[in-house]
Amino acid sequence: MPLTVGTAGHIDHGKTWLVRALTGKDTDRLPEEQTRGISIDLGYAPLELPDGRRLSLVDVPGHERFVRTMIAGATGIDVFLLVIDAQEGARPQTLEHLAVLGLLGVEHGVVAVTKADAVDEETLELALEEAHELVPGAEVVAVSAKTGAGLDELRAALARLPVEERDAGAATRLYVDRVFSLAGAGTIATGTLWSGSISAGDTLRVEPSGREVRVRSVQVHDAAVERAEAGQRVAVNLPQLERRELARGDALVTPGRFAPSYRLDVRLTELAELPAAVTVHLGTLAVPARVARDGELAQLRLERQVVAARGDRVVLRTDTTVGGGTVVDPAPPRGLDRARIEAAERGEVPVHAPVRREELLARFDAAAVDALPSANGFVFSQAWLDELRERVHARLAQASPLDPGVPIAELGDPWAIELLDVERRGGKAYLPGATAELGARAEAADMLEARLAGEEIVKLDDPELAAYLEQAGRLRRVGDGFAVSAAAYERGRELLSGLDPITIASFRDAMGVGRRTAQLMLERYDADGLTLRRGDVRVLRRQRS
Amino acid sequence: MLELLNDAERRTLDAYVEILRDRLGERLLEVRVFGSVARGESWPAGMPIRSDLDLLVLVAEPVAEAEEQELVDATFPLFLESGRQISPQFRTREQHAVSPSREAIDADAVEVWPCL
Repeated sequence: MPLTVGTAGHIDHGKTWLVRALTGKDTDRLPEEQTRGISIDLGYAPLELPDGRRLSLVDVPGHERFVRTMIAGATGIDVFLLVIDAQEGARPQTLEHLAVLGLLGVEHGVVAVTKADAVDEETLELALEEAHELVPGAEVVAVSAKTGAGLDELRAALARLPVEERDAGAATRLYVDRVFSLAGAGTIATGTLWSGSISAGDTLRVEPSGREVRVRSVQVHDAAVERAEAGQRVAVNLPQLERRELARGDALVTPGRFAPSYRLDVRLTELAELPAAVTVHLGTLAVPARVARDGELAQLRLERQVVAARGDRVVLRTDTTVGGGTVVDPAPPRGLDRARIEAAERGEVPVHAPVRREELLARFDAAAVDALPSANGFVFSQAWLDELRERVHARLAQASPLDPGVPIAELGDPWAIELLDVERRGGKAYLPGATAELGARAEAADMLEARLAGEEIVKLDDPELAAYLEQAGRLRRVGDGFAVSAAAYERGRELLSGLDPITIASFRDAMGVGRRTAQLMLERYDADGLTLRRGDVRVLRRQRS
Repeated sequence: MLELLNDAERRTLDAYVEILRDRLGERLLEVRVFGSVARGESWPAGMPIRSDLDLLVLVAEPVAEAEEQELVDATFPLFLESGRQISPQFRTREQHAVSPSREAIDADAVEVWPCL
């Protein structure tokens, strides 16, 4: 798309004449424009620059309309051409136009001081000086639409304006302004594509409903296109949606890159004293809001959810435009917090406790988010991770030497586990290389084993040690807190196949143990899947070959 | 005023009036253009900045919601053709008379049908 120049200025200051004088010659050279019906009377004129580039000049309508439509199409204007009458100088409307351009972030432009032929040199000098003061940094050119003086200089000045390329790789955002339902196609939404691109086959998320939908086709004014680009008015076919599931003001966005929010943290620009209640204009949206402010920072509390992005411009209005703001955080927590907003402005991502990565990508620069440790869809601050790592390692160091692991679920945040320099074995975490050791309890283990060799059943007083010894094949736990020797367990198992029927009494007699021990051992065989209890009788399960 | 419309926009406006006549028949009383297009302040068609071609459609009896939706759907192919969105509002004369927007609409409305 060609660079669009918005011409602004007081109504009688010769805007239209200037546009005609600037482009008149060029329209002669572009007959195809005329046959396509684009006329400079539309206030839309192509202007070829000395370097071959083409601009579109748009003569902006009357003030009140200008503000509303400008905000609605903030993507539409790239640079401005401010027109000031050499005789009259800047008028209130000139200043308002300039202020609104500033609020919308249209920062680069040229000032044309018109009717230069109608004033004496001294008056012209004063007018030029005033223009310089009014728009510091912008080139100021004296022109006469009547004599043609200065027009070439003006074209050259326009050609020198810095052009900011639109970021084609940015996340996609389109605000819906109309929804249709067509036979054979289904639901179609139209709107201006603010950023990113849309292609057939893309998956987009409808906010604030959160539904994800596939794009069947995209059309841009008159033609199906493979890909629609930022700044274009597009029609998107979404056959998965019913018409009623989409409404004006909804946003179609790249999933996970925007968050709908009732709050916006902004840096304010005040044109007039800011009341507590305003209408916030964001693109085509106009949402009533309350302003909580702290100096030049504010939190806008909106009546409805909006989908904004960092760096968006908002305009604040009551009956008139009272100010604007640059979005610092498009989905902040409740409450105005100066330190938090200032940190966000510095590009810091305020993570302490883990935050979902998606949530951060919707609020902060992707590069800043990616610089933080992340795992399993969560982002962690380094300090928080260090703290957790220290705590987890301390806990693991205190774990029993018999089993130096701790269930991961008990360690606080299972999502961070892979960033904590621990080893995962099954559901437990271990210090790297940690192995089970008997250590000081070796003696107790020997004593327990010696008792088991002599007694049919032993009550356990160190369950941890018993678990360790069982894992090592040195005993078998039975009942709740008892054990038999590994040898007794094996002998009983062999006896089972010779018993018919298997009852507590027959097993007791065969083993030569007490009834209680026999019962606990049989229950253990049940648990191990060797036997199956049917009433008072047990049968052998089919043995694995 | 409507000379500000380009050929494609004029064609689609004519086509839409045709659709209205066809579907509404004798119920169609009058079609007027109002808003930025009527005032000559609209953004050009196809611009990212939206200026609808606002139409006041006066009808003999209220238009049912389903029928109104169908008539709005019919604007879509025309939008693709000209880049200008036609935005019809359907009202009876009685509804229009008591509408809060009546004055603003009447101030710059241009009658496009019937062509007297």
